[in-house]
Amino acid sequence: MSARTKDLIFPLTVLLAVVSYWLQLEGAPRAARVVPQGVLVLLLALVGAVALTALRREPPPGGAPAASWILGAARAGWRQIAIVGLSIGYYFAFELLGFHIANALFLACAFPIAGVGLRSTVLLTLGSVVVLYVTASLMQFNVPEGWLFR
Amino acid sequence: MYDLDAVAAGLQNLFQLHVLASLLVGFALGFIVGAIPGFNDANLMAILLPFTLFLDAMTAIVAMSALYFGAQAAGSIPAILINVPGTPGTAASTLEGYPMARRGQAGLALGISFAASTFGAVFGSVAAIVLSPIIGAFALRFGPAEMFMIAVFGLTVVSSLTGDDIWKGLLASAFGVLIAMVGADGMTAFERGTFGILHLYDGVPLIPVLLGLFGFSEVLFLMREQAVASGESVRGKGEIFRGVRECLRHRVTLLRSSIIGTIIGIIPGAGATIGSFVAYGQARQWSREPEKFGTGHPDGLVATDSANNAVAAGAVVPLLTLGLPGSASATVMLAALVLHGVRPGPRFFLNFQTEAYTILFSLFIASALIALVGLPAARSFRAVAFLPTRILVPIVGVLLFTGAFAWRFLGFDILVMVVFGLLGVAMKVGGYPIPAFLLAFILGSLLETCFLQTVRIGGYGLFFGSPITITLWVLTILSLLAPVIMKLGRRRDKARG
Repeated sequence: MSARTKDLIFPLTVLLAVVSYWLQLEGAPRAARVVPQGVLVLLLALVGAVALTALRREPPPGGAPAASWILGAARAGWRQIAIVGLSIGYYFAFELLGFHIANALFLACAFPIAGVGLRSTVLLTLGSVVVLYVTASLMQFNVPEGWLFR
Repeated sequence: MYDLDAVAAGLQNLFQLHVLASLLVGFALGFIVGAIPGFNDANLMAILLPFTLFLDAMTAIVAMSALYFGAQAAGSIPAILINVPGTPGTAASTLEGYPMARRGQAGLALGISFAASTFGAVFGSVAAIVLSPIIGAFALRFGPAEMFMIAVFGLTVVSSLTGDDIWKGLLASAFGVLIAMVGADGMTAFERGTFGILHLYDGVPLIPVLLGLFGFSEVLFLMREQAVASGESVRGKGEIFRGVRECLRHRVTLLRSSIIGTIIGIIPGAGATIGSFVAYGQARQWSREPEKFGTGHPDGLVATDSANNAVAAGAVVPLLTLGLPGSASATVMLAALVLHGVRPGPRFFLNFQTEAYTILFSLFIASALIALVGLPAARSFRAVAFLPTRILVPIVGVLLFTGAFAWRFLGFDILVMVVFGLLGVAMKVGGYPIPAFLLAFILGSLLETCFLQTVRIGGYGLFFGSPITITLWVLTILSLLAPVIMKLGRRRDKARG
């Protein structure tokens, strides 16, 4: 990924957030919008300044087409992408199956993705789940049981 | 002003076996909880609060105070070892502590951290004992205009954390302010930027944001490494005590940061995060090698950890003298005091003088425990930095999910943590400073509320209407100009050879 692209990811995210927030401010009383509007204008100016600086940089020589760049990045960072997907999956497992089962499922999938062998995965998952269960019980931690078990 | 009989009675209250035992247990519990990311001291204090009703008032309050101190000190352990702050106040400890751990100097960093924490806490406790009766009266002068200026000053300090590109720093901090303004507006209850999501009505939750930006993003980066400590491992037995000696070499930073921390702690509502970042910014501005900050400079770690713990001690002053809690844990402390019939406020030192001194002296003893417990424990914790990431990453992942959930007991916060983790990745790859975003996020609501209150009370003139605001304006301008002046000075020195 070129330095220019890296520089632009965050300002584009900010721009998206600014537009969404601005649309939500419609109909707000003056007291609720005066400070946010000031911040939104400042953000637009700063996004412009940062983007201009990034765009003034020399483009990388012989840059690859976008599609092959995305494929290359996905291949290089497949573990990270898998962990992000697994983390989103954890939320749904957490809501449906509860804290302990979600933890077991996450660990059972995450250890192999991180590069742990099958036997160690089983041992580490069981060990971690037991430790978490005991800790949660001792601390009287109010863990959810999951929608399916209610 | 100082009633020596009350001081003696306060000490007598404290030096009873069951009170000292509760102090030790409270400190140990706080230390363990502080070392686990997300399980913050406020949560544990809230869980333990009903159980303290079976104890007498002083035993319960001393235990709570010790727990609060233990958690603050131990919060630096995960901040240094895995870049995940144990408490919000230790977020700044990641800036220098984690790069040191990455270089294989985890033990050294922990030694520095605990020595600085002890100094900061002892300094703050002594200041609290001496100044509480005096400052109670002074702190009453802080109105919304003064608080607004405190927030502005905090944000200008961010400029000294932003590295070379000031625009990136400003963008990150302005975005932090915007995210802080998500949720129902404090004055009109109008929902802003919630997209109709009920869980965002109270705003974006701090702990999931913190865990996402620092922890989850780092987990993704760590997957490329073999272990946290990628440098040459320094495992010598004396490494932690070398850290203590290293900390004592930075006497000026230690003293300056403890003073900054105590002052910021005394200001109601400012908090440990602001204190440690301001101290870090000042350490960098005054340093002879500011370019080394961010790469694992001991001076920065000394500044953040002494200030963080000095804030914890200083924050007890407004809690006792004004009844104003400066943080979530201080709020639970307030609840504990009220539940036991000890109501803090401007007349606290008149009505509960003995109790006040018992609490303040218990803080002093808890400060000493940071070194007594922390330094021996650091050797065991240090091993985490050498664990293979293939084992560490999934376990830290589960801790992050649990910590995010534990803040409000809402599964939704796990998603918030993941989203802010991805934002953290975007910021890191582009070189946008995460601390600037975080500080602005914490200060955002304070800025807005105080701005609107000031304008409503007396118009824009109030921002220049008192000696305190004028002093803060001067400090703000100096803080903005200092990096430029120092840069020019260094350029001139270079030209002279």
